[in-house]
Amino acid sequence: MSYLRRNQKRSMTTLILILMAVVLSACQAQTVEVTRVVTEVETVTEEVEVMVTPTPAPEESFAGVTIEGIMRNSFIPAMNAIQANQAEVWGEETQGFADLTFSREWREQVAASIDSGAGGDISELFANQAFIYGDQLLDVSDIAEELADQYGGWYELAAEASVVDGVWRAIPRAYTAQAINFRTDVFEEAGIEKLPETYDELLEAARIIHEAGLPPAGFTMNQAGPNDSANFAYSLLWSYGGSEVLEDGCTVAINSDGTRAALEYMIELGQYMAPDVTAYDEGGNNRAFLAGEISMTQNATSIYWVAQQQAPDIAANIGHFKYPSGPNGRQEFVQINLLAIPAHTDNPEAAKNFLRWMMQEEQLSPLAQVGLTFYTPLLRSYDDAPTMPWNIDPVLEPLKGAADGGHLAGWPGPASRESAAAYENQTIVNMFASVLTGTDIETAVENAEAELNAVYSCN
Amino acid sequence: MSAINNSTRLDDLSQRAKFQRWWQTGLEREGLFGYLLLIPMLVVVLGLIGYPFVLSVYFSLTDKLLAQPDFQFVGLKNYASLLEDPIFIRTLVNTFNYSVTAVIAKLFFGLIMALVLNEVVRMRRIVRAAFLLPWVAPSSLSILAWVWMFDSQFSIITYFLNQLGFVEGKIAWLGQPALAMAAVQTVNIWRGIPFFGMTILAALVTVPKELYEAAIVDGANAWNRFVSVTLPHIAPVLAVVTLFSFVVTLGDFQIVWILTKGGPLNSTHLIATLAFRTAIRSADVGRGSAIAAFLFPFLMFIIYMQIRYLRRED
Repeated sequence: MSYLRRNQKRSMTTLILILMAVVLSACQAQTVEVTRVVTEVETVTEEVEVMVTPTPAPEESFAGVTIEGIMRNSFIPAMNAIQANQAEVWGEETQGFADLTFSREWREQVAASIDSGAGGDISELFANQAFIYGDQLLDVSDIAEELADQYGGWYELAAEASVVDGVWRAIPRAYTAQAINFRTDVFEEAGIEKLPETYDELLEAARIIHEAGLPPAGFTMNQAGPNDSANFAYSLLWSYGGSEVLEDGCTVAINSDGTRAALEYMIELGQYMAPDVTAYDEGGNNRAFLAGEISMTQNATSIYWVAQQQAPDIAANIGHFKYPSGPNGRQEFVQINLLAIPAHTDNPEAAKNFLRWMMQEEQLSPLAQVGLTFYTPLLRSYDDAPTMPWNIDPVLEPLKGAADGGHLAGWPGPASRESAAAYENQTIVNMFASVLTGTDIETAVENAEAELNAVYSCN
Repeated sequence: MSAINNSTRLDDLSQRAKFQRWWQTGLEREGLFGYLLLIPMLVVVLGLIGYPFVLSVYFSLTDKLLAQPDFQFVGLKNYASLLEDPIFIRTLVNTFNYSVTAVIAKLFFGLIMALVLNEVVRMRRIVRAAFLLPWVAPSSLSILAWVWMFDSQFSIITYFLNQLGFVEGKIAWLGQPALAMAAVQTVNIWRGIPFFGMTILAALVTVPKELYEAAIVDGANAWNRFVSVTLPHIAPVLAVVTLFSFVVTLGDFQIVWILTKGGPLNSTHLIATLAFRTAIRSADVGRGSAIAAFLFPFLMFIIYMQIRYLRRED
């Protein structure tokens, strides 16, 4: 009996210890989360009060209707707060209810929702995803045309990302304007007076900085940091005349002189870059830049935004310039965010009303202002709107109109499922990363060609 | 009328009594009661594992694309095309490299952990609970801590290596294929050692003390006692835990996804991460399912060996 009791006591003690460990871990996680939320709320409350201005009331009533939205969780908390507030205003005006969920795994949630035909009356999409879902999305051509008439027309890129078989399947809400972020004080110290306009000039600037012993350039090239890496890799490839596929969208064309020239350039640039660029994740170059480890990198304006919030002295020394041009001109890769309505929605009219309303200037403009070009509208009237960041802050001026002449993955072929798959494989990024880590050019091209042949087919 | 009612009530009572008798007898019958207890777990296993698994195997034989309701049966085409895909071949090699290395290391360090813990007398319970922490801590949280430890700029590991004079400057832990693979294996080993340690420890405490006393009388040293007494006794547990861990490690996902997303240069992609990326991100459900199911025959063989071994032991 005593043996049994002793063992029971031991088991209980062990169980209690395990439970304590789990509870402690859970409490730790909860504390972090609560702290973050409190800070966010404090930070954005004032901004939100200013941003959510009275909006024109939607004409229709949707009493008792609830629409759900699966949205991207922005790293700028104010953007989520503003959208949540806007949804509330829409609900009050229409007697309906818009419930937006902001998630970091929003792409997976959208995929599950559309594939299963359940949930999500509004879905935020990314890059080529309108081509993945195709006719599983409602035709929103009428909204696209109205918006074009209202706001000076769309950039060409907008239609390229949204029109599937002649039908607008999504509304391109915004793109992430990228530029080369640089330290003005480092450039000054190195004696670089003219900002690089070509890749050769960029290389020269990187060389001068490196030889002066100043914080070097650091262009992310790693599949764990896919957005920044793809922006630089695709842009460089195209600007040197290379491409993964021909205009037909199916013939693999990576094995070209243009590709080899771009790879040679990358090897040369690599000599002057921070040695760990192939280890950066999506925030790696941000952290390195803010820590003073690097002085030049590809990025949206998140570095500038964080510096303004947390390190104003660094923000004062941040500048931007446009992606350079190469022998094939200035070709820039652009990442787009879109809003779509899944065809399975039970509330198509309410969803369309909400989508149309969210795209009005009163709603979109605050997002663009808070997003600091991270959320740049693809409608041309915003270029010269006095409220837009690039028309207010001279540091952001180079990002104005970055999508003009920009391309999606798979260019010069049309956006497609295959180009989305090749992008997800990070074939182009890995091709550049491999030459930075010692692979010879021919092997890198052969590997990329084999991977692309597994994705594209003309049959 | 009243007689009829009384008769009906009697019939009802008799039926209820019969049912109660049948139910009580049934509960007392071991076989039937066992099956009744199994039902909830069977529902969970069939609903949450069996159904998705069968569906996944079915999709792997089709050209199903994400969000497209129409698809066709294509036989083994997806599997055949995988063999020509350089990323998949690399992933296959990565998966075996990752699993074999990690399981051997976990077995080795887990055995040492168990042997040491078996000798600890003071504060035994606290020490044992502390060693369990890596295993019970939420994986996403602990892996995020490793992300910082392997950060190319702020790595504390690099800091100590610099301080000790082993290396100079930064180390791109997650930027070089060999280092990145070593990094993800390290995290898997760190998380897995407690499972091995505690399971082996449970086996160790069952080894009769008399056998050690007899071995000492026969002049056996510590190594001889380990090889001749300990190892034969814990061998069945070692075999089962190794096979079990191998199966689980082959399907690992979160460590790689959080640390490297399969990079750099696809050098840390595992079957699970590649299947996820192909089926969900690239929207090719048929091909993604084929990747996920590719190792199924191999895993079935391991499970068959495991069950056979357990039966033999019984």
